[in-house]
Parts: sequence; C-alpha cells; structure tokens
Amino acid sequence: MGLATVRVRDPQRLLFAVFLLVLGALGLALGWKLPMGTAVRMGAGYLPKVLSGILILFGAGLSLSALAVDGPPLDRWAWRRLGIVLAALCLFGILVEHAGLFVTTAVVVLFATAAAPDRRWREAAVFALVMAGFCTLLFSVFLGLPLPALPS
Amino acid sequence: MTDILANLAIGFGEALSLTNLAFCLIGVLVGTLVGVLPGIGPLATVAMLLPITFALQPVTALIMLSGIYYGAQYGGSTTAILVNLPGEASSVVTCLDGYQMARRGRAGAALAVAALGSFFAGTVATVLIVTVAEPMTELALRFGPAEYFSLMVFGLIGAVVLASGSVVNALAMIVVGLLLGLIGIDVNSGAQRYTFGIPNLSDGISFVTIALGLFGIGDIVLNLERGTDRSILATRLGGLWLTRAEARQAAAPVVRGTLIGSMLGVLPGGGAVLSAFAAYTAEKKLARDPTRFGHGAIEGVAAPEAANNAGAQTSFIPMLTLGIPSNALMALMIGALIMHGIQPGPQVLSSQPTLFWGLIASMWIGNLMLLVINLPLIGIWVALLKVPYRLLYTAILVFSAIGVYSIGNSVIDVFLTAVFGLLGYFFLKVGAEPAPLLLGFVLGPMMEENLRRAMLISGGDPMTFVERPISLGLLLAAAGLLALALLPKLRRARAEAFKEA
Repeated sequence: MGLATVRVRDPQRLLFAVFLLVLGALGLALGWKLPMGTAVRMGAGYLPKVLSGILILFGAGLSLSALAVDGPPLDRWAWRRLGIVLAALCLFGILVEHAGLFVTTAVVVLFATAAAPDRRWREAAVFALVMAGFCTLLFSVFLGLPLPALPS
Repeated sequence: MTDILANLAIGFGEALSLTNLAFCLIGVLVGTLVGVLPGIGPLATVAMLLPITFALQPVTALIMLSGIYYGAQYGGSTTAILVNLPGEASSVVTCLDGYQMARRGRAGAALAVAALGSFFAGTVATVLIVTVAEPMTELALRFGPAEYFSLMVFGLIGAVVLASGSVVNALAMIVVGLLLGLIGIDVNSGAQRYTFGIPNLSDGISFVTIALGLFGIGDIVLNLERGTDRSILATRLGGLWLTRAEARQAAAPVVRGTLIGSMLGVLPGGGAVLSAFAAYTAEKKLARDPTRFGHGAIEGVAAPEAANNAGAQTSFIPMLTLGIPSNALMALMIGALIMHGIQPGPQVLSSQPTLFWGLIASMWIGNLMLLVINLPLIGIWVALLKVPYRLLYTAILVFSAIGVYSIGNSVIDVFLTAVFGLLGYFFLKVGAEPAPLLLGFVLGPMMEENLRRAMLISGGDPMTFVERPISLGLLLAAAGLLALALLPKLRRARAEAFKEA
C-alpha cells in the first residue's frame, strides 16, 4: 500500500470540491484589499474573507472524502447542446438592442432549435415567426417594455 | 375573532378589485399551464415573469406570482394522472396511483379528487395563514438583530436538512450563495465588492438572473439530453364524479394530507414537494392494506394532492410574517417584495395591510378559480401537452431572455444568465442541489446586516448569540437538526423517505 493506491473514488464530488476551492481562492484574492475591520465594526472585507475561507475548507474536506468514499462515475456532458443553448441566450443579448425584438426572437428561436435532437427546420421556421409576432405584440406593444420592436 | 373578520374584509376588498381578480386569473392560468407541461416549473416561470410585473402595483404583482405557484400544484396532477409524468416535482407521487386509476378508467375520478382535495386544502391553509399571521408577526417584532441572525441560520440549516440530496453539498451551496450575495456596494462603507468595475454589478447580481440561470437554463439542456417522453394515455376520463365509495375512501386522507402539508409547509425547506412525499408515506403506513398502493388506491392521490397544495400555501407564512423564505420559490417572492421597494419582515403586516391581507384573500379566490377552470377545461390542458418540447424550450429561452433584460434594460444581465446557466448545468452534473444557493443568496445581505448590528450592539462579543434565550434556542434547534441529518441511521431514513416513490 503506498501512494499508488490513491485514486479518485467519487469524481463528481471531486469536481464540485475543485469548484469550491477555485471560488474560495478567487473570493480571497479579489477581496484581499477590502478592509477587514474588527469583530465590533466589521469592514467590507470581513465576511467575504470569512466565507471564502469556509468555501476552501469545504473544498478541501470534500476533496479528501472524494478519495475515500466511492461515488457514481462522471456523467457525460452534452457539450454541443449546452453550447447552443448558452450561445442562443448570448445572441439575444448581442442582437436585441440593434435588431429589435421581432428579428431577435426569430433568430434566437431558429438558432436554439439546433440543440433539439428531433429538430424539424420547417416547423421551427413557422414557430420562429409566430413567436416573433407574439413576443413583439405582447412585450413591446401591449406591455410597453422598453424593447424596440423593429431594427433601429 | 372580530379582528380576523375585519382583516379578511380588508383582504377581500382588495383582492376583489377588477385588476386584482384579472391578474389572479392570469396567475392561476399560467400556473396551471406550467404545471401541466413537464420541463418547465413554477420557479422558472415566476423568475421569468417577475421583471414584467414591475409595472404593476406590488399587491397585484404578488397575487399573480403566487397564483402561478399554487396553480402549478393543480396543473401538475393532471399530467401525473393522464400521462404518468410528473408535470411538477410535487406530483411525483401522484403518478403512482393516479395513473393506475386512469388505466382502470377512473381518470375522471382521480382528477376530481385531486382538484377537490386541493381546494379543501387551500381553504384550510388560507384560514390557517389568517389565524397565525398576527401572533407570528408580534413575536417577530420583538426580535433583535441577534435573534434575526439566528433565525436565518435556523432557516438555512432546516432548508438543507429537509431537502433531498447531500447535506454537505447543500451546506457548501449555501455558502456559495452567501458569497454571491455580497457582490455589489457594501451598504455600510460604500466599498465596491467583487464588482470588477461593471456598473450593473454595483447593486449586486439580480436574483432573477441567478434563479433563471440555475433552474431554467440548466434544466433545458438536461431535458434535451434525456429527452421528454410525453405520449398521452388515450383514456376515457370515465366521468368527473366520484362514486360514493370513492368519496368516503378519499375524505379522511384529504384531511390528513391537509394537516401534514400545512405543518410541513411552514418549516424551512418545506413546501409542496416534501408535503406530498410525507403525506403519501403516511397514508401507506396507515392503510389497512398497503399493497393496494401503486395499483390505483384513491388515497394515494387524495392525500398528496391535498398536502402539496396546503404546503405550497402555508410556506407563505414565514415569508410574509418573518421575511424568511422557506424554499427557493419563497426566496423569489422575497426578491419580488424588495424589487417593489417593500422591505420584507414582520413590519409588512402593519405597514402594508392591504397587500398582506389582499394577497391572502386572493389565494382563496385563486383556489376557487382553479377548481372551476380545471375540471371543465381539462381537455384544453391535455391538448397543450401535445406541444413538443423542441418548440417549448425555444420559447422558454426567449421569454427568459426578455425577462432578465427587463430587470434593468441591460444586456449584461442576459450574458450573466448564460454564465449561471452553465453553472446550473454543472451543479446538476455533479449532484449539487441549487436551491440552497438561492436561499443563501437572498438571505445573505440580510444576514450580514443583522450580524454586523448584533456585533456592534454587543461590543464584538459573539456570546450575544447564545446569551439571548430566543437566539440560543434557535441556534440549538439548528444544531440539533444538523446533527440529526448527519447521524448515519437517520441519514438512511431520510434517503428512504425521498425514495419512497
């Protein structure tokens, strides 16, 4: 029995632990300059540092237990679908103030359809137009949200 | 007693205004819709629509958003019974016996008992809220910062222990939420914390962004990858009326479910889901012949459906009277109050009596509307199930984007939602429940404020939290809950309770 027996038994837990460690370290590093203050008069940096420290403790503890206790294997990530869905959201952000709600909605619906396993492009095109009309009428016209309906 | 009647009069006076009635109806309709549709829940819906309610009066906004929550409890049972799919997490147990009843041609009876049971539970829960609201508020008004801090600790710990999943992961998620809640300008010193010079971040991240990213976007990707099967069982409804024997069998379980749901809804971490599970388990234990369960026992539909509606409603009690959310959806409601410029807490009752009583009265009205619209319109809801997920999720995406954009008319919030969407998917993949994060995020700023004030009053002596009896009691209760959850024997019992289905 030596170092060679160290292996990851619970990869999901380890991944979560690494996330906590990274977040805690970021919290400490980015909040370093904030004044700590005293326990009586806590400064702006008191809780950020304490909480970051706790996160690091949680991360360390969970990392160790991930080596000790067996857990389920890592799930496969649907990278392509995740990418498309997130990109569709960003696309909305990029377009909406320039292209207006009608065009943006239609484009985002079409783009996001690429993530569906059972996509049907013709149906999606019709749905994109319907959604674009519905959203523009409901949000820009009826509810009067400050979203431009048409390209500016 | 006269007080209660006077308060109810104020409440119904407010809730029966034409605008409020209209938005109550919209709320329960939207709620039923998302309840029926698997793949979108009340949490994401409330988060999506919250920014749009900004233009409404606060009471109208809250009436509509609440309607979505309890409306979804009614809608969820429809899908569970007819399709054997939980439209909502709280309807998971309804599938077991509800679908079996449907297969035997008693779908109509199952739907009727679910709706009638829910209505009974909703009525009892409304009365309960009215009765306990004032005493709870009076108690809370005597709380100082130390008591408040301990109460929030108790709330957070309780939420973790009673929710499903790993306790340690959930505790870590609370801390992540607390840390994220610190982002923005520190109210005491004006220092910028973790804002990276982005002006949008100086007021903090919006809880709508976090809720939609974690619960809405992450779920979309997961649903796409797992696929949502929704073939509708072609059954005749078999008449919407219960036979006399069925009614007799269902009556006691409805009452028991209502009691269990009412109690569990108030607890931190409680609410609709836990109530339904607990009520089903209790019925199975009490039954003379437990083997009938899972084969279409009407008690298995009546009790959990009454319980989830009772629990959904009584979880408003700590939110309204103490300003403490017992679950993620109540955290959103707290956020909605803050967005409308109302500081949540016990003072809401005295400073906003029409909002307080109007909201409560609207719940009973909303339940009545649900009873009327649900049963006759069942055909429409079933037809909506035919909307395929490949269309539904693109619509959810666009509505989410419009919702977060309208918080501050800023595209930065849209990009942030994408970031939290990524995080949400990550959490799903590593088995970390995101609800505690949202609770920590919403409670974080209030906790910091009360902690700082308590320490200032006590001169920096942390003993203040254990020297004051109420505070000590709350902390001990929190410690006790945590110890119970971590004990191996109880841990197994807890895992089984959630696996019962």
